[in-house]
Amino acid sequence: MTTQIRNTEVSLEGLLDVLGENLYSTPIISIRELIQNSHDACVRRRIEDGWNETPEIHIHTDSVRSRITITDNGSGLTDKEIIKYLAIIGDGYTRKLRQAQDNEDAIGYFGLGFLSVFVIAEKVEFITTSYQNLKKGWRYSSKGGQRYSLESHAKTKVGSSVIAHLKDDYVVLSDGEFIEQIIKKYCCLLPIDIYVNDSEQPVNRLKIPWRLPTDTPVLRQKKAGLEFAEVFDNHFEPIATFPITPREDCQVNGLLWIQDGSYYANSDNRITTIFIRSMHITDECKDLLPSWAGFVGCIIDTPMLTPTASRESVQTNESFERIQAHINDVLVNALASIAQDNDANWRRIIARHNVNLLGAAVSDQQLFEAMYSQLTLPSSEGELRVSEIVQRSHEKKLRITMEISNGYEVLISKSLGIPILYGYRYGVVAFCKRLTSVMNVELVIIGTNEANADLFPEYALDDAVKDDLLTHFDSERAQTIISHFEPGCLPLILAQDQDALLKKRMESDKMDKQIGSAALMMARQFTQTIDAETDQYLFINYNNELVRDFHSFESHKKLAVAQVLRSIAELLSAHEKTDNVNVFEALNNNLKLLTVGA
Amino acid sequence: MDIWGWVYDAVGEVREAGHEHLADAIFDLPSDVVNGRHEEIDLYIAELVAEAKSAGFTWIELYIRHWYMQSKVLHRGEPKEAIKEVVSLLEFAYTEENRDCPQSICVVQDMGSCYGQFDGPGYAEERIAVAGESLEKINVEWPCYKCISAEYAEALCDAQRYEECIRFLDKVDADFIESGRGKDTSNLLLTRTEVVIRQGDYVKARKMGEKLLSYAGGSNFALDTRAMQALIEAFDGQFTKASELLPEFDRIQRENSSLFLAWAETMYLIMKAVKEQQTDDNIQSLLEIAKIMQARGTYRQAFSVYGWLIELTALFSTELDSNELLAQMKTVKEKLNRDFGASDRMEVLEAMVAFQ
Repeated sequence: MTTQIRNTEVSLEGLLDVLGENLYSTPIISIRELIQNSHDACVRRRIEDGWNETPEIHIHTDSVRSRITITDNGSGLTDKEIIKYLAIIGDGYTRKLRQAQDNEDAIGYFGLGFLSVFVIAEKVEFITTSYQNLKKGWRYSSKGGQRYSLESHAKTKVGSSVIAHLKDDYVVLSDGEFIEQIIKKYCCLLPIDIYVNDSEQPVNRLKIPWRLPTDTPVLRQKKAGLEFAEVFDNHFEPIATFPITPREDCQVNGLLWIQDGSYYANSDNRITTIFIRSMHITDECKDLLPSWAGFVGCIIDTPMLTPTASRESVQTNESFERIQAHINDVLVNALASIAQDNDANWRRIIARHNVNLLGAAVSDQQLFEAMYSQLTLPSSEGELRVSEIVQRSHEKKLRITMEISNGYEVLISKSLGIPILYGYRYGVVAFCKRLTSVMNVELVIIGTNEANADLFPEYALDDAVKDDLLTHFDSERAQTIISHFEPGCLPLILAQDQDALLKKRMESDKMDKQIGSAALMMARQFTQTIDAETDQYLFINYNNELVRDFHSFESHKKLAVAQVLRSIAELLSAHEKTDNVNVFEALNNNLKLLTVGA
Repeated sequence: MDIWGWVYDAVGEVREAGHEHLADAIFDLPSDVVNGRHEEIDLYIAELVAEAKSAGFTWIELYIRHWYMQSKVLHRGEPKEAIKEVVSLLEFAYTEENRDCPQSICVVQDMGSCYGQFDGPGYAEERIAVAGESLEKINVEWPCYKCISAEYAEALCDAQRYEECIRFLDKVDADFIESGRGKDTSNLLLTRTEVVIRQGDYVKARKMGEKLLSYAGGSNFALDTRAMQALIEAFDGQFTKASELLPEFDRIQRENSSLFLAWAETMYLIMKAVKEQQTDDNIQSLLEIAKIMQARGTYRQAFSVYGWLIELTALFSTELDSNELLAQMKTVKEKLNRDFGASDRMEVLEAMVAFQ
């Protein structure tokens, strides 16, 4: 058999199915493509013909006949151009124009734009008069795109009209209000006026913050920024905006904004809208913003990014990463600067996003350093600023509880006005760990032996007094330590050693029945390293009047007092929710009565 | 046994009880773990545990704490900080109310991994016993059969019982095939590839490395794969390819620092052979890895990396003091559970330093 050279047959119908069902996620893309063609036709007329009139696009919707018509006053096409560029897939004129003229105004890429109209329309008419031949118009007509007719048409004004006879599934595109909303948002950056039906004003004339004259008053700039952001954020109201300006290695304009709310601290409500050369590409590219910015929105317009074939997303390449880094810098610098100004804007942000900012600060060192002192942390004394927490903390030790239920530590700290930070709340522990690197503070997790040693330091006493106390208070269950702590009304505290408790439980016979022997042996390798003779400590407070007088009591009274105090200590150590400071007063009164009665 | 079935049911209960955020987080947490989002996890984990605890969802508490240990131990390699919580979690997992929770068995794996990271070869026999004990309680129908088999195989590999390890992996694969699941392409194949590398068959290892795939393993498994492929190339003398495949240091530090050893070994092999790679930056990265390992308690790994640094310092001029490296090596050697060749290695390196 001789070699045969043949062309691959392309089924346009199949290709359209691919476009409609797989390449484009929404029919709106087809409208966007047609508008882009119209825009590029106007650019072409200006470049090739020196035309300097106002370019316009008019969209007419007809819901009765399920049609949408898009008309422009651009270059129009000759019959030959219709055959070459409109009816040959992938051979877009715009790309050639851009390459030939080195002009970046035109936005077409792949020559697929016109074809996409067949995704939404069962029949398409294209009526055009080229600036190259004002005397002759042409009418292209096709059902399904596979075959088309081309005939002379009465001359019209220079320009083109596309009439799309919509498929049943896409009649929504003949709804004027719907189209107006789409155009307003997605064509807002196009430097061409777009009218919908009988609108007297162009519908896409939004004030673009980065295109405002440089002498625009600041307040007006801010207002324009907020209004612009509002169009793009369907969920939250923008409360502050920051401009993204180009830098040497990053040609990008845009806007960042802070949202007015958030569902939860780590909710990811990032929204990012990307325009490439003023043409809307996508609303779904969260990764352009840093992952911690779940409360931020962003719009950019850039020639640096490359769209994918569907032009609904962008390629993640080096340019993308450069823009990512630039946006991160802009956001961090803006937040840092606004935090330092500490104005009404910052107060609005912090009132809504303090928790999110804790997380953000942990993720970004620069942000942390700029704002850590402004942020608040949840504590037993309410939400407190870091500076206040440090000021009120004893010996620059930040006490943190990991338990929701309050133990004696919270009770004692409360009575002393020392805040206990709620480490079980979002970001608190990670944030406090960072704090130790910038402030001279230490973290103490309450409930641990270290925290107990810190709260109840050992107190040196005369041997006779010490022995007397130890004799009466020591027991097999707990090791007694003489201490001196506030508040003085509290005579003693019974504290548990969590590590020792774990050791006790893991090394008990009961565990042999519950856990496999090999696993248990391995676990016990660890618990054997826990150095603990007892799982309870009794801290006797020599700052307490009764304890101080104890040595002078009659022996029968000593026994009675020791017994009562021990039972009270056990009550207090029950780790129940006992956050009422009055309990100390009651305790003190009882103790006095006991003293008098004895 | 569907160990995820109860999780789906529990999510419904948690949501119904008004804990929307907790319900959402139940599936977010494993996803964050396998995709290396450890910094985010550190921000929210305490809140989840506290919420589950205060609401009385003890199985969910167990699940959350287990997944946090997966992050701390399996993916970040921090056994020293994690061991207390791991043992406490084990005790919690086997209380009356939690004993029937399918996640209980996974906690045993957390503990095995912890000791494997302290000293892989030194605790190999104990880990084999622990994983073996767990495997007796389950079968191929349990999703954790794969994880625990992988832990068993890793322990055999650490003990250099390579033939036995391959026989075991063959048996597990046969179990998978018989149950209609097909051969594993994730953790078990990863261990099998490591064994084949240690046996010196790099051609076979490369073929295996190309088949590594895990949908559930997230971006961390993709990093595991790249690191393993880089190691194969480095052993086979393909240093340019190894350098290209080696994941970025910053990325593994952030997302999967349990790969430090593979990264360090690959870099050591490359630096030994390629003059251009004998840079201060690379030496400093290895030193940083050794120090982090020492601080986190992965002592056997730190021992290896200090050893490589001494060798490299003998090979070309670095800013490091070999005697100081030897001293650090001795410090970590004291933490090893069993010698397993450590003393011989020290002797060789001491002689090398003395000769310099």
